[in-house]
Amino acid sequence: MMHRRPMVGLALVAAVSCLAVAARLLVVRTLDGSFLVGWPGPTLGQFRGDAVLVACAAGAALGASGAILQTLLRNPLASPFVLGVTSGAGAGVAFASLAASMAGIAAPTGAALGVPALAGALLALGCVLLLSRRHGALDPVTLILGGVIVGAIASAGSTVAESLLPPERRGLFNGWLFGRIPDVPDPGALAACAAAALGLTGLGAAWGNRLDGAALSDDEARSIGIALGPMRTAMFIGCGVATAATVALCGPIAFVGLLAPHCARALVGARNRMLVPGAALAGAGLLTAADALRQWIDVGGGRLPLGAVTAVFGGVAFLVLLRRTAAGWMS
Amino acid sequence: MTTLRFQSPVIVRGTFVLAPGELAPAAGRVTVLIGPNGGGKTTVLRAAAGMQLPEQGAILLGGVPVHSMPAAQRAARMALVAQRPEVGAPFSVRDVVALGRVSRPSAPERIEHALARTGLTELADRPFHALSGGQQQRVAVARALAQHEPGGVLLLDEAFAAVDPPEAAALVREIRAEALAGATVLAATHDLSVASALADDVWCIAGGRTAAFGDARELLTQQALPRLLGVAVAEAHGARGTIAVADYGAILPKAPR
Amino acid sequence: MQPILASVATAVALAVTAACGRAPADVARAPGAGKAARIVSLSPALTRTVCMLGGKSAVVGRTPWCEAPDAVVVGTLEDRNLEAIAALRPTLVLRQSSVADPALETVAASSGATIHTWHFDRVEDVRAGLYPLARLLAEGGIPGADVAARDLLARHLQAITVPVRSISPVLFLFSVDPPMAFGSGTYVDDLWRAMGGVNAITKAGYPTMTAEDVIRLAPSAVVVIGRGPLPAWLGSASPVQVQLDAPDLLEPSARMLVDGPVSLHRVDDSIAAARSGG
Repeated sequence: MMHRRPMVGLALVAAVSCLAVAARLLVVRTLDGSFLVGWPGPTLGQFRGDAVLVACAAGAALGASGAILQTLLRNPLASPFVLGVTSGAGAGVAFASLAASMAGIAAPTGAALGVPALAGALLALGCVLLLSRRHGALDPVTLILGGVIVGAIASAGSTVAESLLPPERRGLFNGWLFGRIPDVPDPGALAACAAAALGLTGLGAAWGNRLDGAALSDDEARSIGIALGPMRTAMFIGCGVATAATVALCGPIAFVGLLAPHCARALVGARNRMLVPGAALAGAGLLTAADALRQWIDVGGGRLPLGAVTAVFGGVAFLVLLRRTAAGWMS
Repeated sequence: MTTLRFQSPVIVRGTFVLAPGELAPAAGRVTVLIGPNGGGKTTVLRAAAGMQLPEQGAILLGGVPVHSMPAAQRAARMALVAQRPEVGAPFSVRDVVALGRVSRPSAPERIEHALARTGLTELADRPFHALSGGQQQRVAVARALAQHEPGGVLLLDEAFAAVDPPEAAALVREIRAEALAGATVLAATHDLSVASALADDVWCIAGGRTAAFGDARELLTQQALPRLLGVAVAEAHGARGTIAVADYGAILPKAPR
Repeated sequence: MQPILASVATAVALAVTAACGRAPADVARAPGAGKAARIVSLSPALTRTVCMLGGKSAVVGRTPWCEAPDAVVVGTLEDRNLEAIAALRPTLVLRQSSVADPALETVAASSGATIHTWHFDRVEDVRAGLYPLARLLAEGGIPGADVAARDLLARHLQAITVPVRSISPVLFLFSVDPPMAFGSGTYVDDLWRAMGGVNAITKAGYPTMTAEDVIRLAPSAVVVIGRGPLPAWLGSASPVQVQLDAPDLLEPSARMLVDGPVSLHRVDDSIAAARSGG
């Protein structure tokens, strides 16, 4: 599917995401199972509005990161979660809480969580990149395998840290490890995540042509005039920051960073100047839709955790997408 | 006119020692790199492109060491086609060719012209990965042509390996046209008949050292090539003069009658 | 000698049973009846119940969260250290699970211990389990267990027969971020309704909700059981907010039976005070 008018595709992505936002804002299912349609007034509406802001900021950050990682690593399966970056950030937060508990001080909250999250994210990404270096280039298979393994180790670390916390300090982790959009988001964390999302999207769009060039082999990319090393470093750090900000805001969320770029690519094309903003918009829409779905599905135990919805629906959608698009990446 | 000069560069811990003194592929001519696998052809091209820093000596592009040139400045004067075209994103053919203009001023007509010269206009909107190996190599050459400015340096590494004869003929024509317009072309190839059609000069690299450097009319011959390449060579007469052809039959015992 | 001892033991058991009015379920089968009890408990609720029945000294093995500091930690229900349990030479192993544990059964059999499984989910479960548990302790050399059980039940019944004043729907939360409530069919719900109260949640179990759900519910009072700051939005859900640090209400054990109604009465008092004061 070739795209003569990526702007039209971009507008389409924006429109669908707006639909998801409208659905989240206007349609809700109450505890007793009935659906309510309409704006509920300022008190209740504020919760919905906050949830949409969080979902859009986090979804955009994840979508942009996923698009950039897939381009830089020349791999359609790359994403912050698959590469272990999300889990690394989560482990950073978990260990920071544990360290605070052992030192007897209050655990970091809100935007301050971003610091240990970033440390964990960059450490995980660094490990994965080191593991998959082969003859100076990144082997794609080892990259994904390494990411899954590093992610698993980081998740295990989070679980260990959580189990070592005394019960009264575990409040943060009530379902946090699955990812959840808080009822009352921390304003600092929300601002940081929105800023990271906007910054990364802007950078990705501005450097769109250079990112495109990174799709060639290293030698050819350099020969067409791209300073590959500095650009990769800057973009990896940018993706790490955006992922860490997302994790600090609403915990580790899977699949949005993986799916959003594929959805955007189908409508907007593979050129990064349009793809990165498209993926950011798609990510915002996907996460908002997941949060809406989570309000609408009732399995008897009350609300589902957000991470469960993204994992189930995102996972299935990804399997479908993978079958159809994998051929377009490799000869 | 950009000059490319090799001043006794020593590369990869002394493994590759190109000729003592200075060696310079001439501008306005096509210099074909021949030699056995692993002998150093790719290393020469990568070093010329600034991807490999010589431990001693230097490789100068327009008088400036290649390795230390800023990437954008180098891209304005030199274009590289690497051995196996790798595109790690689902781009169309036109998108890939357009990559040649990434750090150059935008020029859509150059892209269309490059597509036309390599016979890819009908395939321009198809996904790159849906093409055959030979077609993909032509896309890489088109990209280099879109990037390349007249008078610059064009480096081609086995650009003809998977290309079939009619497509190869088109490529030979375009590359020679670039040379005529003043480019310095350095092309590595295994195919002796392509080398014969393409070459003005020949540079033979074996074991990391320059075995020969000179005019193609003297080196691409039945007398000189076997000594350089270790293969029997037959000669044919073509439109541009002698064509050297590898004679594989020469190594087989004659069938008993 | 043996047959005489056995018949004496049975006679004592029957006498105690007659006094309590409950049939001994497994007294005749319990090996080691008459031996001093060595109890390994894999459930904090069961440990607490045993302690309240006077059996604290008999607990030799526990989980990390049990309140019996002299006992050895042998792991949790899911992740128990079989060698440690065997080394303690228990006579009784107590657990709460619907899943069988063959490895544990083997270890117990080799030590001559019996495994007893209880399900303390609702008030009725705990009430029904007190006497049998006391019986086991009594056989294990803790004489006051049966009396303690009777005493606990009496205190429980006395506490829950006093009705609460608050009869409009009350929401009981044990977590505020996200809001998680005691629904119908939970022990807090059992206690509150036994005392004449109304639970704002009709859904069964422990539903997870959103802030919007809670506000929409508009209970007459919100009770948060636990520590930690209350979010500001609770004020939009109900004008009456009560916070109670009551660990007895966070675990279905004998302590819940006895102290639970007391805590709920304190909740009732706070609600009444808030209503009249503000």
